Amino acid sequence: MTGGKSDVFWINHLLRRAGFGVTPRELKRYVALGYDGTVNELLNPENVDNMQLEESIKQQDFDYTAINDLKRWWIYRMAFTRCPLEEKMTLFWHGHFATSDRKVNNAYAMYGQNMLFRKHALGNFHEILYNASKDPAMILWLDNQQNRKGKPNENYAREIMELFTLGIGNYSEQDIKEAARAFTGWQTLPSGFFFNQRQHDYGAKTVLGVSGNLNGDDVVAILVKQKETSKFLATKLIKYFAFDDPDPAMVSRIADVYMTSKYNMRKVVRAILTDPAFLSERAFHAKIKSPAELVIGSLKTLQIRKLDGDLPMTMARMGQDLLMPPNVKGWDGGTAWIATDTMMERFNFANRVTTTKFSEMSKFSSAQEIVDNQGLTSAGKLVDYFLDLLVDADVPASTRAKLVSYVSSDLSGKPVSNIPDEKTLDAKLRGLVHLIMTLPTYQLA
Amino acid sequence: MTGRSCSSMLRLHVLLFTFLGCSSLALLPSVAGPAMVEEAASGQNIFSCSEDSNVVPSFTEERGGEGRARKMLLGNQRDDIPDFKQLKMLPSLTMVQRRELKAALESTRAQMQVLLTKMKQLRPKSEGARSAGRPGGIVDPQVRAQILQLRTQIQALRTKSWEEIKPKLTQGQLIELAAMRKGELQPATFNEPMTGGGRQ
Repeated sequence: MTGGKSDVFWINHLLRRAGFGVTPRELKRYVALGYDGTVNELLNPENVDNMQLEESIKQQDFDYTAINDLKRWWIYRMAFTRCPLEEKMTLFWHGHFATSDRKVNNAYAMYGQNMLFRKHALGNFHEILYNASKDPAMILWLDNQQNRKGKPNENYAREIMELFTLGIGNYSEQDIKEAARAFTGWQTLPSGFFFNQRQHDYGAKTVLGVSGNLNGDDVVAILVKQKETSKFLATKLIKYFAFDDPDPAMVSRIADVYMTSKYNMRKVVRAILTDPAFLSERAFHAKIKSPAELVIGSLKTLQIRKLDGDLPMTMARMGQDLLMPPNVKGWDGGTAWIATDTMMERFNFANRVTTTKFSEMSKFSSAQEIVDNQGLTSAGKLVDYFLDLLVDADVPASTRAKLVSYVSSDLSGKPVSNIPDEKTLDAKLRGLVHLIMTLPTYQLA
Repeated sequence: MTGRSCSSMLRLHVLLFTFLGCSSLALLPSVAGPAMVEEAASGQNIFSCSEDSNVVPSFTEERGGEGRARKMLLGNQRDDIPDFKQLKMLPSLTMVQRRELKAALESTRAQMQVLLTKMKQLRPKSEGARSAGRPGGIVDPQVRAQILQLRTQIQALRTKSWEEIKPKLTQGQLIELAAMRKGELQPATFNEPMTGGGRQ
């Protein structure tokens, strides 16, 4: 592995990016597989027994026709799946084909779309785009229901080029007009996709230089094989998994995999996760955690199994309202996750989750027993333990010193050589974990 | 973005909110410490509670986050009455049934609208209490009583509509609806392999 770091170190890094963090149990299993073995398992979810998740979900009484239950269902999947990359890619496609229930106003259609993204999470992009184009929620979201012969609605044609495949500047207005005609009559009924022949424009069209009696299927096929599409998707996926400013050489490497594999996303994602740049100092702690990564990652590290029903709202206040992305472009990600109000929400969450966990733990052990069991006999050891656990010890010495100083003081802030009582130790433990969870590094994946 | 540039922006926010006042944070990666290695070997960390680890994870009993509006309307209760707009998604719903459904909802629409408007007017009062950080959200018992009364009326209206709609659905459709709510009905998505389309 790169940089003299251990397998454990890079597996943790991998699981933060290709998943949502890791519990110690999961980490043990992945470490036994090694880095390459872990990548293989992540990329082949169909070979992983995930029945426990499905069984647990059946016991939850989710109502799939209620959007807030649907959000909770997805959070539950992200937190407890044994196929984290499958969920991570489902989230990627949800952001890519950003569809919001605010307009669709139909939770079950959103559920259908989500299942579609999961089914094709690491599939062939041609199939993903083909199915997404005929997905009822998408048809409602981008107004293709109103795209009729003689009165074309250009919304879907525009977004499929600008946001789903080519990227802005790689097509003309005429291409959009012609593609819109190709998608006329693509409608939805309660039973699913419906091709309304009477509303379809069967005339000749030209899209990106290809002429003929083109329909939507043809436009999809034309778009997926464009070089611009390969670069657009490669850039977006590198940004999603590795870092926010990919260099052209890496984009080119990944785009080549897209083209040579005939749009196989499993191969594309594998290429990113095994690229030397992904396993480099440059990628380590180089991305700001999305709210999903922050929330689910915290649940995993703290091993919280009783989830707050308000989690979807918490994530929404952090800027990521699942199944309700802000617009057709989805979430901007990167630095856009950080603002005064969203940071406050992150800190509030840290406080809430720490309080919940320690209150839960206190039913089993006293604070003294908790630290004794780990052999944490000094303030320095206590601080180092939690820094390692929560932020890979990635803090400067001055921060560590301040945390040690915090632990080495009583509740009034007066320095002490020994923590005087159980109550103070309990408060210091909670406070320490909360403080680390509010450090800049904790916000980084 | 590199860790270093992320850090400089995050630092500003952290300075605002933590009393640590972490200045000049440089995010240079460090070698994995002992905790991570121990965690990997043992499958446990300080947060592991063996008594708890085999419990099926779940959401808390009180289902928060229902959405402010819905929660205000219905409280934490969950009933057997479906979301009426989902009825329209039943694949087997006929045009006649569609019209009947619409008529049934129309008959209570005006009354419902009045109740919803009243509820909306009460919302700022409860939101104000919430943002002031008062536990329970609503301080004024009168406002609380008004909300509870409105909830009862809204629920009664929903029940009335459902009683009118339910007999118009076939037994098969009711089963279909139940399956939909449990996520067991094949979603109406186009989830098929490519067949002839997408000529390359």
